[in-house]
Amino acid sequence: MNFVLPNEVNVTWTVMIVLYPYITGLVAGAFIMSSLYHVFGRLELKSISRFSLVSAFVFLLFAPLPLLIHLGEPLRSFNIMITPNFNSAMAGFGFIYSAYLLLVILEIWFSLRGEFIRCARGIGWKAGLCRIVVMFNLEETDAERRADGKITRFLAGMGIPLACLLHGYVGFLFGSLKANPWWSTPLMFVIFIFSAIVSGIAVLIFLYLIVAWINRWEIDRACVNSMARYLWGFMMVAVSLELLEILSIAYKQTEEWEILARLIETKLFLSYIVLQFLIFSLIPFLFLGIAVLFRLKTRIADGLIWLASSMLLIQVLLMRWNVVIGGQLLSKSMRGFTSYFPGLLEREGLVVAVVIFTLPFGILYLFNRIIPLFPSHPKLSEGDSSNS
Amino acid sequence: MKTSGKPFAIVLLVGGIICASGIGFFIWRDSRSGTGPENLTLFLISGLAAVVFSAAGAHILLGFRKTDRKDFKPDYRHAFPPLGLIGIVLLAALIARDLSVPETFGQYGRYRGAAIGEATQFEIRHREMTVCRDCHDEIVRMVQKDLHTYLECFVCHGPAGGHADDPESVVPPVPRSNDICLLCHMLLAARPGHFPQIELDEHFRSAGVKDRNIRCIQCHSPHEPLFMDRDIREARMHPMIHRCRDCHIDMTDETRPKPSDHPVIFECSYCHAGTVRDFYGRPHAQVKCTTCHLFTRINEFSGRIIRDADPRFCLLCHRDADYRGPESPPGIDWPEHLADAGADPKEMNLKCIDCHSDALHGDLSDE
Repeated sequence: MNFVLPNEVNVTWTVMIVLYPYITGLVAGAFIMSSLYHVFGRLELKSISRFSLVSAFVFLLFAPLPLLIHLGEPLRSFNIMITPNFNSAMAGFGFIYSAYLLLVILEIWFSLRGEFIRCARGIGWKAGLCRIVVMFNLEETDAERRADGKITRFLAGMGIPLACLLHGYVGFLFGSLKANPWWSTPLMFVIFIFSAIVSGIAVLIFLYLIVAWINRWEIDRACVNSMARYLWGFMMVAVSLELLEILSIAYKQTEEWEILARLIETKLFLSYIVLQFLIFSLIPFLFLGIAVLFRLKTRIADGLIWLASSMLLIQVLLMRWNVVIGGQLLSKSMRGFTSYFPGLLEREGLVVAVVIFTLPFGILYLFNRIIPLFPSHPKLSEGDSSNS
Repeated sequence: MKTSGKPFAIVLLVGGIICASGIGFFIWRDSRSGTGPENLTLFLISGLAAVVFSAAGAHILLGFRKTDRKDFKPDYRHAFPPLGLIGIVLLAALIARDLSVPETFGQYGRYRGAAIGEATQFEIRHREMTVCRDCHDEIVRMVQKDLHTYLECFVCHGPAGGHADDPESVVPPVPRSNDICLLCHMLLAARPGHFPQIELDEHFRSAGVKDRNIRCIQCHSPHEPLFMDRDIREARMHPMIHRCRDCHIDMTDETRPKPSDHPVIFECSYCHAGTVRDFYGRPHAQVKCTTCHLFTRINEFSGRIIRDADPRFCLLCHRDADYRGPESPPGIDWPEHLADAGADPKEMNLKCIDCHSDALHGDLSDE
């Protein structure tokens, strides 16, 4: 039971291809959270609306980096733009990504124009940078502010289908590969979208609570509770879809189940069954359920929500790993498996992956130095501090 | 003026949309045909007109909205600079695309058509074996009858184009290290199982080699690696003989017994039962049939089989040499062994099996 065809021994889509949908998912999830405030009027999410939009932007900047490192020859990446091939699903990334990036940049420009102008009126390098950003127009009227709001709302609305397209397309890439039974399912892009939303909300909660704790801010309870509820709801849908998908194959007992069952029982047992579902899905599900359904002390509730968010971030990463790597472990012969674990220091190794994943947070920090991502957050008073 | 402005603005906007659609059409058409824009001027004018018409239309329309209504309304004019900038960038991108995409791109497919013509102009550096044969006929014949028959000379000796033109001053390299042999014959999981591959330590152990610094070419001639006494291309066809590695990537030991639940596969004893039975009582019983009956796969179902009876082939295992250890198979000095055995010096073409057939197996003629 280990018949592997010669061209399948080496796994070619490495950890970089795991990272690519993961970062893209963070973008889509964070953007949809910001749209919940801008489009759907969820006012309780105002505290994190700016942060979520900028998070989507910085993750978007780094989404193609794993692809470029994997493919090499970054100068050739423009070829998909200048010689478009509409028959290629891969080429879709170039157009959807560019349109989405443009939209996010415009939305940030219009929604933060007032902030940029205020900063531009000062002195120093930040003011100079902001003057360039606002194109040296430092005037701002109420009518323009109103227009900015409308444009932002319009762009946020347009961005939701684009966000779904961007991430749905990544799922489509896998789901449309009919030769691979682990990938080939029409549910794949739906699963990807929902898991993207989960990871996006999770990373926002994760960062928001950390920043609030470090700066000793008063946490916006309504905002955190609302995000926790959304996270709980979306993670239930995402995990249920994944389970239903695998359950339907198992129940149908089609010929591919012979190999998929072995894949799950052997090669993916730890990362799929134990880690992805039993630990990093079930425990956050319980934590969030407790935090949402019961009245707890705020510190305990925040701790549970933060822990659940952190675990769900790992859960989505595991999901990407199990999809991308798992699909390559099984042979087209349906009679064998290969193995893969990334090296530490190689070009597509773990260190590079960690560096790529860390870079967006650095840019987020720099952005925050210029335009505060969490404006007007009151500090905890001494009394609050001792109570919490 | 105010009442006639709105329709005009709408006309401008519609014009902008039509021009933008024109660009979309050009891109769509070009992508289908794979060629660059056929009419660059029209293409650029469309782009420029789309931006200008849209901006002007929006400006007039929004301006009227602002002045028409008395109540407080949004003012969108500050949005024009960034949107205009995007329009300029897009236009610049379109121009850059037109300049950067080669003219013949897509002529035959998704590549530059002129590349084919340019490729034909390259100086030919690789010379085929037919050129080498003019001077090295004997070696070429040697190569073609043995297992390297499908290799061109340049695989080991480099392109050597200049050597054919000027043999004295351009001398092709003669690689002698093991590295070049192992480039093809080192055991790799990704190589097809039927391709001859070795794991160096195991190979040395099976041949009783103690000196790890020995080079491959001390035993195997690169020009006739297994010293075939007949031309491999004329060897008879034989049904497929499987190796363990055909199915098991990590199974290099061909002598390992099969597990009891192993699927039934084609075995030599099915057709040559008597010979196989007889063989198990002989000194070579530990050797697989295919060690001497060399099988070369031709397709999924069959290959060519040749029983190599050249003495040099037997000497691959049985030559007495310094680099062999005590565990090596029994060795002899060659060709002194012939004289030691009292053979007639005129019978130097004697083959090992002429005297030692009893070490192998009985006569096959009854099967």
